[in-house]
Amino acid sequence: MTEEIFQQFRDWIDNRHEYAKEWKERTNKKIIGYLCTYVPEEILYAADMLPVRILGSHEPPTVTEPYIFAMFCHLCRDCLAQGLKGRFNYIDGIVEGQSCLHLRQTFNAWRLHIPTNFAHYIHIPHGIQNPHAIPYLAQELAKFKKTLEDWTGKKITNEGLDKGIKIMNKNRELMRKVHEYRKLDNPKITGIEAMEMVLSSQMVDKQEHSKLLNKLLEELPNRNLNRNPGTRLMIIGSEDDDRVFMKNVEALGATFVIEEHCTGSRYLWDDVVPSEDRLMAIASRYVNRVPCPSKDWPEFTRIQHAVKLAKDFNVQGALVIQNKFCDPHGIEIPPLREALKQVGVQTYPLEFDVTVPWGQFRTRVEAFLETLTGLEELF
Amino acid sequence: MVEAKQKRRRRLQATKGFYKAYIKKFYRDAHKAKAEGKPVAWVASTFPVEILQAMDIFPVWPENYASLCAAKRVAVKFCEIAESRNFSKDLCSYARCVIGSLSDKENSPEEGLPRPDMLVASTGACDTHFKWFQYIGDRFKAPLHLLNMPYNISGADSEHLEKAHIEFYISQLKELIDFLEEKTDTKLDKKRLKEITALSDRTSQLWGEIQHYRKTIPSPMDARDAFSAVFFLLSIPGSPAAVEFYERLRNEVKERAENKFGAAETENYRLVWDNLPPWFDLKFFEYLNTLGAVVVAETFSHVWMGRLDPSRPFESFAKKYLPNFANCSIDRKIHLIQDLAEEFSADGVILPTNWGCRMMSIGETAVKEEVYRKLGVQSLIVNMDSTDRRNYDEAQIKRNMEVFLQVLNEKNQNG
Repeated sequence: MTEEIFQQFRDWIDNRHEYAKEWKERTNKKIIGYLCTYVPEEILYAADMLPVRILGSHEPPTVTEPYIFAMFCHLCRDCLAQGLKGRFNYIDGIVEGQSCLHLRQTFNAWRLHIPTNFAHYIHIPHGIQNPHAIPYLAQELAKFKKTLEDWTGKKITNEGLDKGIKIMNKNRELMRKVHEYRKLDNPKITGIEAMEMVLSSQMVDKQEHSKLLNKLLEELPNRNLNRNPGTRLMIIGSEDDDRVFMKNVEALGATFVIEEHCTGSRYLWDDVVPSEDRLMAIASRYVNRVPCPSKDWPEFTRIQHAVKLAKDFNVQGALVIQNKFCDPHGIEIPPLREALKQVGVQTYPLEFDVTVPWGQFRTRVEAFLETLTGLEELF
Repeated sequence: MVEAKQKRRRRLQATKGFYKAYIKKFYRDAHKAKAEGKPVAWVASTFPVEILQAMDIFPVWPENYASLCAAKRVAVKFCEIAESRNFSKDLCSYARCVIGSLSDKENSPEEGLPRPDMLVASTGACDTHFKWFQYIGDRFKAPLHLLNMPYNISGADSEHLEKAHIEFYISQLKELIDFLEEKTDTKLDKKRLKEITALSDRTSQLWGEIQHYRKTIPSPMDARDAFSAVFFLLSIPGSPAAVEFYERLRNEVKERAENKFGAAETENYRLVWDNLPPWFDLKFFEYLNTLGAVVVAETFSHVWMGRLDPSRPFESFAKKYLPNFANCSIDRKIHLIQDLAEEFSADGVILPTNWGCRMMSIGETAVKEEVYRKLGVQSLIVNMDSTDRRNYDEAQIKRNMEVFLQVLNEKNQNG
């Protein structure tokens, strides 16, 4: 049964477009594509729409060159390529929550060059450590809500917002519960399975996803993976949906026990704390969530969070990923590695592009794993 | 093929010896201020520097310093130092250059940047700025304050900004002032702010007049002079020195325009230049002159101006900085370059994709298409880096320029 559940997560990812088209056909409701996890999906669920994250396909995105130069990160180019190739032609609109310069280009190019009925840019403040951030964002969310209402002609009620908050909180809570099983000496799920669980949650109806998570949580206590977990690894970086890389590294005698990615734990770590003013409650969640480095200043709170995760999940070593051209993450890499070093976690940097040269990476990762094993034997 | 001829540019008197007279002096003053115990702030573009000037906080600009290092041909060495410390080779070349320079004081021009007492920037330029400043602040244990700027997605100009955006920006300025007052233990003198705002307004006005005279055929001033002289507008706009220099420059440019005395002996092709220049090779513009081409307008010269009302400084800053193209969607950049090409009677537009600055390189292909669609003016996209010379193929760029000018020439001949 457990294997079937993970197979379902995989199938949802592999057939995400078919799923979405079928969902739309079945429900006759709208689907909204979003680029960054700063988009509050709660409000889209409240509007009775399905939010789906736009991600790349890891094919060389040649079609994007006229719109975004090759010096922008592969994620933003790959996402735009999906739109230009018509793979998201079923979405009714696109929404972006301000994060970085890169995804902003994708949003603008999408808005200008791909026929879309609805495009909205939510000005999520950059300065989330600023005391004005929550009320400011609440105002921006009110604008977003009104724009959706004007577009659909339907009011978004408090009951709707409560429903949206509940759907999102439940899904995050269940995925965090699954993460508890990764803390065990012999984790009950692998890193690739965790990645597929989170990725699929960004692609399908969360209510359906949560039903499956409930079943998974019933099954996991009795699961035995029958594999030596090997070295306990962490992976840290920006967006990462490179399943091939995860799978290959784990085949070398390691297990990713935690990740700090917006396609991983960063997506699900924080809930909305319900309150009378729903938009303020949602704004608080998105301001106080584990931040993307592009918003994390003047304090490096995300680095502190990564260090805590490394300790809580008893990590032996961390692969630090630089998505080529991603400056907000790139600048944090030296202080991040230093902070992990301070708590005895060895790190190894790798640069990801649209495709990963596994041949070269394999040798480097193997050497890193050997270093870690060597340390283990030494002490 | 358009061939280079030994025809010289005619350098303006006002900008002769600019480096020694103004840049060296600026850094000397910065070190002197530091030595005297005056507060020094590191600051980045799209920040209302007038407030610092009004509070006698000395503003130093790491971006300017990186361009200076490039001109002095030490930027590559500094970039390599940063790369050896785990910073990506693809990181903003200004950031790499300045981070690297911190570890090589001996080779740093003008004795390096004085140690910051604080760092201030805004979110309006790009996300690299604030992470870069955060890293520096952490390294020097100096406080960092960033102005949150609402992103101007509609590209609204100063008269059509959202009221909520102006109000939020003003609330951010008030927080900034609280921060500055706390760190310097002095109160902002509102009368002084008005004086500085008036000076900055005058600086922008004069710079605008100078640009206006460049519309004359032949153009009295080219990019070589503009990329030096823009220093005052960017770095210390609210200062008598800026006003004095621009008055002198304006008078000279005006006189040239009235006498039809061009910046180059021959002006066959009038060009608009987007993005930053190759700071390590400003002579490139002299090379263009030898081909009969003159850069008559740069986006860089047109995006930092902004008229200010000294009686309403905060609102004025909102109206000056929120519509800055760096804080707007691509539409604003397209319209700006279309306007420049039209108003300055350009024959062509040069659109460098600057490997060292993502923000400045956004949407060059879209600009190229839209300028041609509206005006029938052709553009050339060239790959370069404003600071890291390793990403600059001089021979290739020159070849591209020659071919481009040949295309323009044929177009002119065919009517």
